[in-house]
Amino acid sequence: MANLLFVVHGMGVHGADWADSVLATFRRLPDDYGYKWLKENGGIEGSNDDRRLDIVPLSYDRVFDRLAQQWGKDSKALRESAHENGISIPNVLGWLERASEVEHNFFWTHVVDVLMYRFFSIVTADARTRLRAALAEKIEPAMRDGEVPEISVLAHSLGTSVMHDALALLGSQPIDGNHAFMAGNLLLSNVFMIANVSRVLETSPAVFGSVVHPQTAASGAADAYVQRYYNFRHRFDPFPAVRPFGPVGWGAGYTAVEDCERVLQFNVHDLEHYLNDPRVHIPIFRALAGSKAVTKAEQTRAIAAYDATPEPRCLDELHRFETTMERLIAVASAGADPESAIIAATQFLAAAQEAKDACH
Amino acid sequence: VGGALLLWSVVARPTTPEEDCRLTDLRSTIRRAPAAIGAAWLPRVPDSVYAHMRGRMASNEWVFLVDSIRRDFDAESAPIPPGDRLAFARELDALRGELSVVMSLRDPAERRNNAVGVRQVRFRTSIDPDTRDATIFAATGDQITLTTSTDQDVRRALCYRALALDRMLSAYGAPARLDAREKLEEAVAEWDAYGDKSYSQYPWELALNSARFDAKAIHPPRDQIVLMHPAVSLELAQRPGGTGPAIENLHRFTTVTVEPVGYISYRTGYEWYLGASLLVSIPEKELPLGAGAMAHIGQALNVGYVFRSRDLAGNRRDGIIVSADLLQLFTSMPKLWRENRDRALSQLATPIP
Repeated sequence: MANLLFVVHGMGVHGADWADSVLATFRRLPDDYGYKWLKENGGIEGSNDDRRLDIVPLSYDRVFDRLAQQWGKDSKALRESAHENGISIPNVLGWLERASEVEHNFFWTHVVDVLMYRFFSIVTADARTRLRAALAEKIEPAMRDGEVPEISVLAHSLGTSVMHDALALLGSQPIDGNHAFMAGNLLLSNVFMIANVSRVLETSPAVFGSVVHPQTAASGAADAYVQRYYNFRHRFDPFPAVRPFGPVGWGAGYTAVEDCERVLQFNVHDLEHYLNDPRVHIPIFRALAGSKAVTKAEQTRAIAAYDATPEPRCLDELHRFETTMERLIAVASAGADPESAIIAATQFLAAAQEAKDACH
Repeated sequence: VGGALLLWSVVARPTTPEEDCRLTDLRSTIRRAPAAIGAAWLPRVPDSVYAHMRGRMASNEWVFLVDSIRRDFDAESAPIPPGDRLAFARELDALRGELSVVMSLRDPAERRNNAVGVRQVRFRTSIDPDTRDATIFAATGDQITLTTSTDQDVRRALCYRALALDRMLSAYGAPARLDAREKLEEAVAEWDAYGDKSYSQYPWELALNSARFDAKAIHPPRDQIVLMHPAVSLELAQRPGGTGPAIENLHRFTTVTVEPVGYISYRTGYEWYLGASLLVSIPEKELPLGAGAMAHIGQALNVGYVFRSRDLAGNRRDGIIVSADLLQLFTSMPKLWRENRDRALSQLATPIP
């Protein structure tokens, strides 16, 4: 029996092999940082004769692609039509008409998915159902013959919201009368949320009212769906800055890692940029493989090595980028609504692209 | 190195809470260094106990199994602290109570198949990755914490039983998980059909229909409102001066139609639908605007009829409308999304460093 780690992508276009680079990162890190036990035992997944973990990539962006095939992108016409028909469409479309070309591009390649997921409940339900089914498709056979695999999920960006919602419903809503995957009958070992936007995009179930909380939360263990919940946030990442994730009274089962601030690439929101930081991957490795996976001494060495890694060479551009990010985060934080998050996300991606171009 | 490994595998050594209480680690220890478990405990490891339970589980003797474990636990000689012994016994009794209730009902199989009435994760252990402590019944009044300083026999007496019971309850829940999985797969098939075979929606229609749909639903919407829905359709109207419905009297041309409002109802499986809507036809040429209604019977058949006022010669040229609901025929708008996305992607082909 191998344990299961479901990995869910963020916004943007993802092909069938989207998780290959994530898997490669997981496999590379023990060598990069010299984690002895992991190196000697086949890495986080284990060896062929002692398989410990199956990493299962999940995807939900097919839902958005289907609409992309049906619709055009005339945002002005969309907004005017909606207005004439008394339908509330977020003012992000008005902002888009004034946006730069780079911002425009990133909106249509990445951020439009966020808008679709948050504001069109038919799209929301479609994505949530597909994710629930994808989870069940793997969990059910893994638990045959009385097996009890440890089940973990790792979600990034928009994926944190979709995964939260899917888990919250799987854990609290009978499936046509069937309670098999509900809290009390299924318990996840670990939830890793990276650049968590589940709060700003929340609809129903509400994030802090759902079953997706650790057993140690004040609301009690009876309906808890998770043993341990980890939240990772980078200082210069504006995505999780709008309505940041900050539960109260979740106890020892909740771990917040918010001291990531190294900028080793301009797109600090990138999943692999997060995973490369030992402050992020060490808690994940330990949760998945046990405390032996990385010793305290190895942790100290890894953090020192990571912090000594040179930042991008064009320091002026880096400082300008950091200042831009701080300003963006300040503006976005004041907004505290999904529209602010969507605009901040688009502006961030454009700023990262511009910083990269200027650096070369 | 080989000799050292052999020596390590045959000499008993203290195990950690992780090795005693985490099934993955325990199995790894059994495989690599069974001597670390010791001859006295090897027959009592969870997988061995579970193997002995198979026959009783197959004949649905769940209460019998819990009673057996309870008797075995009462006779346990390991020095379990009295508080922990009581807590574990209470949880065993709670499980027995739940199973007894379910088994005494008229439909125990249905209860089991729907996973109702028995808390299946009751005996799930939790390992703290930093302290290595193991916890059973976490955050309940019966919480038991086992640390490196806890007597090894106590850890095993509690964790081995908890793991075996966890496996037993997983087996108990298997039929319900299979049923739930199949139901979710059916729901995804419905969403696929809904995506492929539903009546198309413009953004404003999707917004309107989303506003009246619960995002927590598993199944797609059962109905759909049509609102200001434009399309390019085929119209068959009488030729000027023609009389009667004979085919030679009909003039075929392309027309822009708009459905101001309508209603669609999806049938079981979402493979097809029935619906009706008001209809306006706006021909490009000499014909005046026509108004009528359209019937929708799946994607294949969208047929309408429009009435027109009499022309100067006193003829009324009503028309039959056939629409294929091909959204992309309306304007260049549908392809724009994809084109712009593709263009933007090509411009952003180089990842941000």
